[in-house]
Amino acid sequence: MSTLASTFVDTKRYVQWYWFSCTLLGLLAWLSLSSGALGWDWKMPIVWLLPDSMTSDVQPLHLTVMTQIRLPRLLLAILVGSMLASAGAATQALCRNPLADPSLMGITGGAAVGAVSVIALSAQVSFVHEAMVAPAAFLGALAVTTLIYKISNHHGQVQITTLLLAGVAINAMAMAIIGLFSFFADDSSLRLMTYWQMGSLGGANWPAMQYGAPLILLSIYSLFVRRKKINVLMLGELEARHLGVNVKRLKSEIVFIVALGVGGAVALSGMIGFVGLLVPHIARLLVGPDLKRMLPLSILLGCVAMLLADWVSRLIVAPSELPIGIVTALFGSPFFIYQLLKQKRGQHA
Amino acid sequence: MLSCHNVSIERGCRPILNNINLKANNGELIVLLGENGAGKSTLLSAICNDISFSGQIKIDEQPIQSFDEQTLAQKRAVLLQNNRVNFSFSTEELIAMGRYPYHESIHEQTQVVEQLIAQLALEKLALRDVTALSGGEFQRVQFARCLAQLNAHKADTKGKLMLLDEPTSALDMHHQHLTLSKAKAFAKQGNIVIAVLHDLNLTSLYADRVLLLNKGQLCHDGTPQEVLQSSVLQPIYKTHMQITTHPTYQIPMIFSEPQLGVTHA
Repeated sequence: MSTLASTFVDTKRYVQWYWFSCTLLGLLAWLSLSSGALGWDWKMPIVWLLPDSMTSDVQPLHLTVMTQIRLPRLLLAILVGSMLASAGAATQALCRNPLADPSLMGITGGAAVGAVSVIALSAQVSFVHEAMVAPAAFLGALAVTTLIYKISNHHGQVQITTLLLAGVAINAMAMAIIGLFSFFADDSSLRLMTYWQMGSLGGANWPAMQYGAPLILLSIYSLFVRRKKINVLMLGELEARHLGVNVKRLKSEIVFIVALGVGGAVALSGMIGFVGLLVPHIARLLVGPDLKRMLPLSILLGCVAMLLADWVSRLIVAPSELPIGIVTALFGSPFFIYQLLKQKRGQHA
Repeated sequence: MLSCHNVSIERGCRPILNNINLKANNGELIVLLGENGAGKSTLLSAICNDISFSGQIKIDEQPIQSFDEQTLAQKRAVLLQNNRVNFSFSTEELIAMGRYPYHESIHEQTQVVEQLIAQLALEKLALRDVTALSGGEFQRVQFARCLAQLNAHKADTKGKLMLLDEPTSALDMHHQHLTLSKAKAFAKQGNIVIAVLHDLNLTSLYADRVLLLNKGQLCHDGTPQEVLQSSVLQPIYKTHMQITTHPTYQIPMIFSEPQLGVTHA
């Protein structure tokens, strides 16, 4: 049988998944724009697109809520979801293990320490102000990614046990540092820190998006253009080198890009875990591990997952809302345990 | 052409390779022999430029360090031992990764992969998940990837270098012969193949030249008839052996004997 034919059949199947994810994303985006604390009005996203003369019966407050609260929130969910999913796919390729994830490895924790330290210090020290949150989150993420990769890499092979244990240690340290800052913080800083620890899209606004979005978009683009190289890295460092990849440079680039993107995501939405673990896994199941197909689908599914989690977080305790990090952890941690058991079974098979 | 001049490697104060000098000509299949820890894989790593060494290694009269990654990847391929992949690529996808150094369309890539799958009888494995392959099956797929990397599907490929570290260690007899005959055919097109083997009879059947390493030193370099002699092999392998001649091919065949003190049923 010609294997060429099978490749064409598969291509059709992959495209179907892209269409399915795009449709789901569109539906969830519409749901996100049309529902909120003011209630549900399915016409709102359509009304917004119509000329002013045709929207005279719509209350201005509803339109303002949609453009100033719901729309930035939707875009933030899309940005953070796509970033965390692509960062997950990249770290898994870097570590050659499907259990690697920016939150489990402590990268989001490191970024949160950076962000929280700026928030805490901005109230005390005059030259520290809140515009430094994103750069500080990036530096925190960069330090942790570099450290964790160095700790767990042994002769080009990443030891997953060491990686996860180092992640546990770094997360514990991050929590301790955040706890220390919280202890000395005033009331307003304390509320912000709590928000960062649990993750939320509630703080979405246009000014914050202006500095966070370019960081995230640049990171996603940088990973996307390297997808072929990163693919080869999944074979192993030596193999990638023998196939013509400058492995040392590529690894540094991945570490830097992931830190940049995760830093940006944490600065905008706080610590949101497990999206980077769960989404690439689902994408791999649907279209295989080849990043040329899997990364675009991961990006789409990352947006879907984040919008879904955001919708659930708003629905459960309406009209209030649950921090989104709690929702992703509730869904993600059982899946992580399932993956651990699966890997254990694989090792003993 | 490949040449090594005074190649030495030390780990700590312990010499792993000591002043290795060799020249490999296009068209040769060279087998590296030696006991465990003799330095065979280390020599391959040095030729791959994976580890630092003193001395000089040249491909086509050019120091190996002077090549850029992509040119070197189009010139030499390496099959490592004991390497598994943790992601569920299909066999086809893994072989296609051998085409990474080339800028070509998916259609061209698929053609190369199809040809190699047919040549190496991998049809039944083509769509299988590589994480579910047996050790031997995976070894065959990795060998196909190396061939894809060096344009081995083309009959006019010349001057390439293929380095194989124990390519037949997990294979059954049929696939041992299939792999080595394919490697030999590739060498005969005007390429160099250097393989680390432990099977002395396969060495005798396929090698054009045999290099025998002992404690980091190249102690013998010659044809299988010259090197595969009991006076040469017994002191190195510390095993009694009888050497006869193959009835058809007139080449040495080695029969080892049980160790002293071990009873034979």
